[in-house]
Amino acid sequence: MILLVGCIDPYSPPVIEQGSAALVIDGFINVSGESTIQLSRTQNLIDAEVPQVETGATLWLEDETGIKIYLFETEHGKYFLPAQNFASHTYRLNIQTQNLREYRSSFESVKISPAIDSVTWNLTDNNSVQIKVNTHDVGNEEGFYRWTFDETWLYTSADESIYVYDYPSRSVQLRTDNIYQCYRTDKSSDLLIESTIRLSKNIVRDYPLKRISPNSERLRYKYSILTRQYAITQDAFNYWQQLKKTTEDLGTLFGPIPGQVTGNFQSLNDSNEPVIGYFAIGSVTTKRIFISFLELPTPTFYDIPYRDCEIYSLFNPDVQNFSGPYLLTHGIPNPNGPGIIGYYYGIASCIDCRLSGGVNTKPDFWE
Amino acid sequence: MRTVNSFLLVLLAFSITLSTLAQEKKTIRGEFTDQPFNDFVSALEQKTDYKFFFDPAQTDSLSITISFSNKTLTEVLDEVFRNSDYRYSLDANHYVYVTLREPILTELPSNFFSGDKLPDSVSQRKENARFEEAEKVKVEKLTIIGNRGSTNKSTATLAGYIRSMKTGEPVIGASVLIEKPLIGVATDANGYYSITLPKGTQQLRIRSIGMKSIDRNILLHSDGKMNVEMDEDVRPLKEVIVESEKDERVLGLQMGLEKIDIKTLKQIPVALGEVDILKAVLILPGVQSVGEATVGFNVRGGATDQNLILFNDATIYNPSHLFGFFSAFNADLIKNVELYKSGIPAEHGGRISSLLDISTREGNKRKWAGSGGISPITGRFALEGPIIKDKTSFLIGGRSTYSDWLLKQIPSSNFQNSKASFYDLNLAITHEINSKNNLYLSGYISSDRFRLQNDTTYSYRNKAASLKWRHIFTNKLLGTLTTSYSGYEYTIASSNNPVNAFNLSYTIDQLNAKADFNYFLSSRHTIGFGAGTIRYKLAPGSLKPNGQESLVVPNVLQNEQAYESSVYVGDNFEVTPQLSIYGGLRYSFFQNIGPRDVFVYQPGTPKDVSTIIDTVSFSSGKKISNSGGPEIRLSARYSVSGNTSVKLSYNRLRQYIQMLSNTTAIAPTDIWKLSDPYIKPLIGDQISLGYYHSLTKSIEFSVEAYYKIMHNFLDYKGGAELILNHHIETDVLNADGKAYGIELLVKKTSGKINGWLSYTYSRSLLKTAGATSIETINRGEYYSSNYDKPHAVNFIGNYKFNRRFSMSLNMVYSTGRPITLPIAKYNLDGSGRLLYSDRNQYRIPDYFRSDFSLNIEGNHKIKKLAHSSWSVSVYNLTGRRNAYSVYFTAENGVVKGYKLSIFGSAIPTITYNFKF
Repeated sequence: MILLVGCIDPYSPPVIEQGSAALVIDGFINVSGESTIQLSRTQNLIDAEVPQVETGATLWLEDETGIKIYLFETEHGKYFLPAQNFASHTYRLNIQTQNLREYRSSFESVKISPAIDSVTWNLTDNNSVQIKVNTHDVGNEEGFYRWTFDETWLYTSADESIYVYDYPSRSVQLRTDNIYQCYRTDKSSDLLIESTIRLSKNIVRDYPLKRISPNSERLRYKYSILTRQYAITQDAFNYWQQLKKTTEDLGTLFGPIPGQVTGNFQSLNDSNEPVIGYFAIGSVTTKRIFISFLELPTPTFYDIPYRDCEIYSLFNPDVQNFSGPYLLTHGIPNPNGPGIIGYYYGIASCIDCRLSGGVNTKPDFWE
Repeated sequence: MRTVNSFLLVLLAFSITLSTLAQEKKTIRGEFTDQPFNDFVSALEQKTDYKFFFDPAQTDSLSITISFSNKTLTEVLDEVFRNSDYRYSLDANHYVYVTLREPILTELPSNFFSGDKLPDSVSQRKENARFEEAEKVKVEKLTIIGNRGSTNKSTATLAGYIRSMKTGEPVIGASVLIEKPLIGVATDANGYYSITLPKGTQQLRIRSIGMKSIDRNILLHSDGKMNVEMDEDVRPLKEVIVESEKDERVLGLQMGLEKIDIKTLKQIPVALGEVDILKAVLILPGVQSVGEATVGFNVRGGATDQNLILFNDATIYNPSHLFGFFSAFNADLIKNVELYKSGIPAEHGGRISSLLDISTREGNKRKWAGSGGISPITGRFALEGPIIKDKTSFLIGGRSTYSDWLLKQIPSSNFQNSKASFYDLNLAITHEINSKNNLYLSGYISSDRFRLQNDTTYSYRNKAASLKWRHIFTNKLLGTLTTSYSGYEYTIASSNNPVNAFNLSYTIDQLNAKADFNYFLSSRHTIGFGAGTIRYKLAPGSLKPNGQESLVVPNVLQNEQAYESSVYVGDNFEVTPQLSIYGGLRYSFFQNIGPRDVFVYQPGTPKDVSTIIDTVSFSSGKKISNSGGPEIRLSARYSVSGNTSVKLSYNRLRQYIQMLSNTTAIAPTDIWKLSDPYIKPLIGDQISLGYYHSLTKSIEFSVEAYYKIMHNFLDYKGGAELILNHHIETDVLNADGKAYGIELLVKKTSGKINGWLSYTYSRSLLKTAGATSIETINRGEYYSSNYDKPHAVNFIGNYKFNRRFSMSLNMVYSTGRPITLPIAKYNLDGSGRLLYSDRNQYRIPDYFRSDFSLNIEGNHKIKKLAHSSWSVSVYNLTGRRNAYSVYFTAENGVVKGYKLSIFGSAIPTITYNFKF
């Protein structure tokens, strides 16, 4: 009867060329382990390349007494600091780029994160898995937290490869490695932050970390999530919240007007130069949980990348002509007696699980 | 002498009555369509041997439509006057007396000679009145006012009310004038006029929109009263509209005033079948909004909180329903809407951009009537009628929605879990105590409740009530005492997560008392003066736990109290017939009072929690801060010729309450903040110049240009926290604004085709240059405000096929509103992020929309059970997906751009309206 269609269309803004790319400082100094800071540059919106990294810079931490701790570049744009003792309560990060421009953060205090009480999960109305974190802190009245996670799950390719075709000898041999079962790991991409400033106690209950669809490949066998918790300052919280608002929460009817988010770095050469990033230092606490498919209702299907895979047959006389991006799987049993009369095979991306982003070695933590 | 003559007449009539009955049996036939009563009478006089006697002044607005055959004269007259206030009587001389309300008695009461008291129905007063009527017939529709020779002055003041004959409601803005010399006034909001004229015989002309024109010959001896009733013009109304509006736009002193009467309003095609005042306001030149379906409007580059919205004299804080889809005013009850964009008279103040004055009708004083309508979204009903006939009337109306049902039809899961409902109720009671005292009572409530996507429920409510007493001291002095109450509140409640469940609420209460006087000093001076005060009480935020398990700490902001007082005087002075000026001075004074604790900050540093050095407690009623100052209002009009005029105005306004909002549109969580030691009052200065020209009788052309400066505009630091902030002064910035523009309008006010075309060029800019970089936006340079849309073209065209079918087309174009766009992307913390441009450096795509509507009226018989009409409209005819906003979001680490449109296709609607 009535068509009230509020609608959302893709939109590409007019091409905007930014004058010069701004420096992006990404990383966290972990006082309870080793740390990495990455330097890169902003890029134009239409730029499809990976961001340009900033190499050859000098980075050092500095406490209020002027004691300096230098980081060193291990890979292009990645600056590493091994685990060590941090004697002071506040530090700032200094950066001098190859072209001798200097940047400096404000002094930030070392924040010690309380332990994660638990990472739990429950099934939602549509059988999605909702993973949540709980924590509390007794020492500090107000808590500001940030979480990141690594999720790892076991998956299998379309079919198991028993045989391998040895091209030099043009013969079929038994496969010794496993390319059927893989473990894939993804990092969190959404900003996960929470403050307890409006609560009477420093308690976080059931903060939602990740929601997994019941059809996700993640839940087909076994899934694991490692949650890292950072205690942050109120200013850092405000920064991440602003960043979240301007990149994740926009477009709602009452959405805030986006704007530049200012971190705690400043250019010493030009105070108007935008510098992106927020320097923070502190400890990290972690918690890992596993979820097995045995604990979950069975969905009607799994949304796996192998759904369109096909398995073909190859009979013995043709085996020596086998070529192309294919891998053998099982033998075709002889219907009239013992032995095999040929092999099944499929496209490599359907058979080799490593081609779907995972690794075939079982991680150390895997139970 | 007069009494004796009349007495004889009656006596004579009595003596001959008995013998004439047979004559009346004679039958006649005839056909009349919209014939003036005069012509009707002459026709009857030719066909019969009857002579008619009547007062032309009473019948000149009467037109006759009747067809009959084989009827006797009495049958014909019975039919003509049935259900009207006219009475007739016949006598033995074959004289017919037509009078208003009371018939002439052609026979003496049966007990006339017995010396008994006359029956009540024929009191002496009425007898006298009757004889006077009879005499007027003889002096050829001359109304004599006052007593001859009672004063020596050469002029006298005539005053009174102009009312509608049908409903008894006042006729507002009716012109009362004489042509030689040209002296004219307009009736005020209560239909009252006061005009000072040279003594002697004058032809007084009375003109008004939608009413039949009246010309009265008067003989003015001294000051006197004359109330006139005007008959509704049931013919197409536009002929009359021309006269009145043309006169006003070109000849009137006021500039920057846009009036919308309800008939114009109803012609404008509407979205979702609801006649909407605010949508109509948005089609006027100089009015913008940030997007469709947003609350509020921007007038000449001002913010949405800078418009004073008065509903029957009470302030309305949130004028919308359903997060901006509808205005919160039921159009069935509205009499007229006036938007002052400049030249705001001294009696009004408190907001720096504009005044939107909405008044409801008065209830019908003569008979019961009702109206209503059904559209796909809402149902509405109104009822009115007399409580005491001709003295007291009421009007009550209500409107509600079935939008819950509607939201379920939207094929998006976001809306399926949403709920939305609203209603509004109105009541207006008018009481005429006597000819000098009138009382007006008005009550209003609008309420909204909705839940979008998640578990959070938003609700808000406007309440308003006003009581107005109007007293006529003398013909020249008129006083109005008004008290009003306005309340606005909202609540946000969440209950899903028991630990975090909360109730957040906010309240404004405003009490207002004012006295306004109009003194009609002479035909050249009209003086207005008065004083008023407003008491504000704000509960600016309270967060409370919702449920037993909730750990939410109650967080209640201190209440705010303040008084805003003002006195004013203004004079409308007609220097020469060509030149009129208005000079007004208003002095407003604002006091923020305790109880309240106020933070003191380290002088010379940016205000921040870390720079608080002290807290000062103010006890109840103690003054915390004050501000105030004079506000000058000047206007001048010079008539270059009879159809061309030039106008100039300057005004300063002060505003002591501002809205805090850092979202694009008005959100239900926006809060209002009173001026205090740190939040300075807004000051706006506007100068405007206009040129007005009537090209032909029905086409007029006008140009208005303005320049505006605004001080102490509120802007926000990045990441400003506006809700539950105990020290809001640390998060806001002071900006200065300037706006300028030119508005061109061509309007055809009558004829089969009518409408208007306007083009507006306007800019609205802000500058925030604080002491430190945190307090500075865009390096302290001027930047576009959110509603800076330089080019706007509006077109409205109506075409009337005949009296029953009409169609309207409107087209709206404007430059896209400014936005802050991402200019670069980067990776941080595992996800793609965006670097934004300077604030409001870019624009969303241009806006264009056209709407169409077809109105079908039922037949035009005046007397029938119920009048009904259908309205078929298509909103956004071309289905253009106008961007409401453009945004970018990181999805799984990839930045994607989206354009959000509110109305993404053409929206057809059918509405049924009825009236009885």
